[in-house]
Amino acid sequence: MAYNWKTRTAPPGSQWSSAGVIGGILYGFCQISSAYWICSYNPATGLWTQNLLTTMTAGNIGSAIIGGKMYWIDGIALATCAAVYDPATNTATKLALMVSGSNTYWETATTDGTYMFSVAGYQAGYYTNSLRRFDPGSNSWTNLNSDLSSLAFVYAEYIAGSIYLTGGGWNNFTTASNTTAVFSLATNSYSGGAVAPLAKIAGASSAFDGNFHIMGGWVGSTAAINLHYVYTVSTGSWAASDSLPLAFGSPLGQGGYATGQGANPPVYLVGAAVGGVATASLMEYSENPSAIPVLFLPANGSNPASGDVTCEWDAAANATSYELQVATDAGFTDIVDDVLTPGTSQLISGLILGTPYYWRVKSSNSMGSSNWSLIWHFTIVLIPNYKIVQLTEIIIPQLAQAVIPRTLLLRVSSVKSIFQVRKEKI
Amino acid sequence: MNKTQLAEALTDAGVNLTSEQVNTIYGKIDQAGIQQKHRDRIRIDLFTKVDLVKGMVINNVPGSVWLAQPGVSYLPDEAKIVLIYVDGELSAVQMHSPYAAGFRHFTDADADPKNSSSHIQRLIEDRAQGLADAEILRLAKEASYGL
Repeated sequence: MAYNWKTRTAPPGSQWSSAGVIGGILYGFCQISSAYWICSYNPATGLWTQNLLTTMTAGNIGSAIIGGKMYWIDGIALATCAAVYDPATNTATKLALMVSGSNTYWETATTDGTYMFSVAGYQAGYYTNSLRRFDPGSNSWTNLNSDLSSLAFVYAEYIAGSIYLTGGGWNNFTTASNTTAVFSLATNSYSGGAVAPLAKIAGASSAFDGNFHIMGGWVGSTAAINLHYVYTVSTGSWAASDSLPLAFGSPLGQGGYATGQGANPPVYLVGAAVGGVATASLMEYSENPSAIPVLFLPANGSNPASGDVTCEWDAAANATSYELQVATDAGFTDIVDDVLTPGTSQLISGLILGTPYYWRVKSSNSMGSSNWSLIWHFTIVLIPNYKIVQLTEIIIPQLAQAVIPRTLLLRVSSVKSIFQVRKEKI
Repeated sequence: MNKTQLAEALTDAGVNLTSEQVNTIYGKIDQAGIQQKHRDRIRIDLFTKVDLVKGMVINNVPGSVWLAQPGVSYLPDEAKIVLIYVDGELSAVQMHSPYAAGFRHFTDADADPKNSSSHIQRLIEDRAQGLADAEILRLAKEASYGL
């Protein structure tokens, strides 16, 4: 897949502490003025909506999309809890306190699709090494193995049974980590990973194409960055990817949190960029829309000589699949074939001699479908490989009668066709 | 933004000042003027679902596509839909009021531009305050460098 970055309509708020895609729409939790809101971005319209004014506060990053709802770690200090937003009802609810009596914030949330995991953070004056699991079914937290380094604002993503961790900072975020750890949910234990290219905190992460992506972040306490790195799970190695159009991420200070959405592309990064609130941005990592296919064969207005016709078209840019429609009318109300194919040609069989056929193709990829191509038409005028299964009657001439020329009336296997019969001299 | 909020925002931004220093900076910032400046950047437009049925195009998206979006189908024909522009750029669309859980559509009273407490006026004020807060924080940080 070939993805690239685009900037989209800037979000209405700052301090984006969570974001996730539900039903193709990006939802997130952010600050506007001194209040905290659920906002959403609809890619189909390119616009934001302020969905709900909440009574909640943000102190953490990341989210967990579970069962069509967005879960996040809400609040700071003694009020830190799980929270959930249900887009079906436009309601936000505080759930169980993370750890009763603790003073926690700056955790990172991720999910395996069933549970929300809280990674590291800051607790009672110390950067923590905690790993906790929230079960939406029982509305309860469970402590897991906490042998990772004491950090806050780490990058964390679930991939195939493990949570991949890197970055994170301490010492008021003047110091950041470049270690990578892999936490196995099956064994409740950690293993080490390759050292990350940069020590950084509080950017965004995503798990797609089976790998661990980290984007943007804050290096030391000096500047946000616009770099994108990929940890390839199969090789256990880091590599630089492409660059974001904007620097992205701020742990505290500069006016806002930043967060990413962890599922498959399109991946969204939303929140503070360099300078914080005033430049909060939305970036999208996605394929370009696929181009409209250009038809190739049979040529428009042509007369194929067979009832089995192969329709061909040129490969369209960014396309991963195509839809071919063949109909007997230009309005495509009488569709005789509708085929999805990854290729650029398709055999259509059993077409009737003399009937005009209209065809068109559109392309698709993860961003949706292109518009339909131009409509071409063809009419089959000859089927040379016919098979006569029964000679019913000879009208003229009578059997054994010698005439010049000789004319025959035939019945054949298909009644679809009108035949030209080669005349033979005797 | 009151003094306490400014002090918290400065602390979050890594600027640690005494309460006296915060007071000094706070007194130098024309909050009302900044708020008005950002309020003037915001414009709203109102329309209804009927306009979409008639084919109204918004943000280069035809009405037929809008009608298929979440949150539109349940709207009664007379419900107001709100577009929010910042500096002339279309930024947001509001199918429902965000000041109540659920999907309460905008009534005529909610969308009354002459009523300072109507929901659309609250939307404008919240947006303006958010923009103003960013500028106030920036000015306060700059002012702190001279202390």
